[in-house]
Amino acid sequence: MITTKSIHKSYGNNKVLKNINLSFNKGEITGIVGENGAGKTTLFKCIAGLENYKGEIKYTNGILKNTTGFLYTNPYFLSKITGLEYLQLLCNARNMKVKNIEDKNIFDLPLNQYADTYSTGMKKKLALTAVLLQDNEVFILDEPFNGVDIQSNIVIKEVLEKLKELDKIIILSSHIFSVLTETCDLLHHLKDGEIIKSVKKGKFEIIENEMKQAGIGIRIDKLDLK
Amino acid sequence: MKYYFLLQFKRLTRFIKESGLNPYLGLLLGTLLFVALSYILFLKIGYAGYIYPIIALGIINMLGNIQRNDFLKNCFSLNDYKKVRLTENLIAATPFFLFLIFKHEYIIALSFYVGAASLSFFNKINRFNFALPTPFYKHPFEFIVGFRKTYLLLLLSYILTYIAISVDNFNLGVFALIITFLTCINFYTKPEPLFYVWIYSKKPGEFLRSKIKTATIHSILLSFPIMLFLILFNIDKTHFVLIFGILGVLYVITSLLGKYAYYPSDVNLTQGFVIAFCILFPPLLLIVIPYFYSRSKQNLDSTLI
Repeated sequence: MITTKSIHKSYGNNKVLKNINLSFNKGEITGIVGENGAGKTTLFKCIAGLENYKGEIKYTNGILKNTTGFLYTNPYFLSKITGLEYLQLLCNARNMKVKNIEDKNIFDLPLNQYADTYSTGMKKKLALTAVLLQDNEVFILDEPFNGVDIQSNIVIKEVLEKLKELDKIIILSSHIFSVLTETCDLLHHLKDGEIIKSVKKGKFEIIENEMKQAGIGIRIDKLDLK
Repeated sequence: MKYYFLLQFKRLTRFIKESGLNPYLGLLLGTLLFVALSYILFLKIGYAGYIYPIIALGIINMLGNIQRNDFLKNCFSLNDYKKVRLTENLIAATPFFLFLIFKHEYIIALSFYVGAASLSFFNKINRFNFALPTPFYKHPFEFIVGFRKTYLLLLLSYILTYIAISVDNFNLGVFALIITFLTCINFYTKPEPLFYVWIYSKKPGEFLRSKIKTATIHSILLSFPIMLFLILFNIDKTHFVLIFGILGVLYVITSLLGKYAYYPSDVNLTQGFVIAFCILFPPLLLIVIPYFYSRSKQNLDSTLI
């Protein structure tokens, strides 16, 4: 179980996270939703130990960072590294000796091509494959469905179900409500760095409606499009 | 277009400022370093008049990076893009051109300038799907990336070794060895994104030791053919070759530790000068390596638990 207690994060005077108190349980998929810039990625980075923060994050099963797989919204790949070498690197980093990595290529990626030449969706699939190969206990997936084709979306949903069965802790964000409805057990609405609502499965439309109403205020006229 | 060059100059001065130096002092020191290195090359190496422009063209060729050029093409009209590329190449070529003139290599200087201008019409081809095989597959990533980016330079150093042995010029062979180690040093000059350090489930000391081990084995692997042939054909100078080899590996380790000592900041001029001083006065390594190691360990403490 992961618990966050009074997490605060600021960049200079800009308060990005304010008093975040959450818990993430084994065998549960927790969704975090919010507009762009609400603080989702920062919260994920704090949990993963990629950002400093004020407050406390507790994990009951050892060192959190050493067993966490973090999937970025836009995974960054070093140039001149093939897909296969990327997978090897992430396995090496966890002292794992995976035989026949190619056999675990569930998304049929061209593993012998340079990863930075992959399309957006392929990059995401490669990064996801890597965190899956690491035998992590915790998965933080920042928009795992974005840019990914329909078939792979189905595969990812099945992977999430499998991870849930295996009692893993899964935290994810997405802007696609249908996906959240299908996959998550719990949903938190993050707005301006604060959790303003938390709802259980079956009541996600409450948050969806709130977010839709907030979006009505978009003033396209300001652009003065011609 | 004018704004673009102004912006590039601003970026340069910001880079120097971030290194903790006054931009004008940084530019002056950079110029002095360039002149000194060029002077040493001409002083110590035979055929420097040919080698110097080849190295310079290799450096200028980096401006042909495909992503950078895609960005420029996106920003400018086709005509302006061509002008930008030509101007950039000529600006980058000018210091080398002036030094060649200073060395009275007029024809080479002129040919070099024309060559540099011509390079502006070509971009590096790096979009093919074929990934150059490397012997470093099991231990990504620095040597895999570095090897693929600089294989031509490494090839050049092997060709120079062959020439050195053919014409019985030991110094040229040593120069080839130096090129190889400088290339390896260069593999550690750019810090990787935080994620690529965070992924390790190792403590800082353990992480650094594994990186040092990989750097040592891989840099020996790349320099081994040169050292072997230099020793075979200059058996009486074995100790020189071994000293250069050991020092080379130590400089690679210094570069590695220097990167993590200031991580995630870019390698700054101060580090560059420290390494340059170590090259001029190798005993400094005895202080610099432990210092960088301990600083790196402290520095990585917040990322690696």
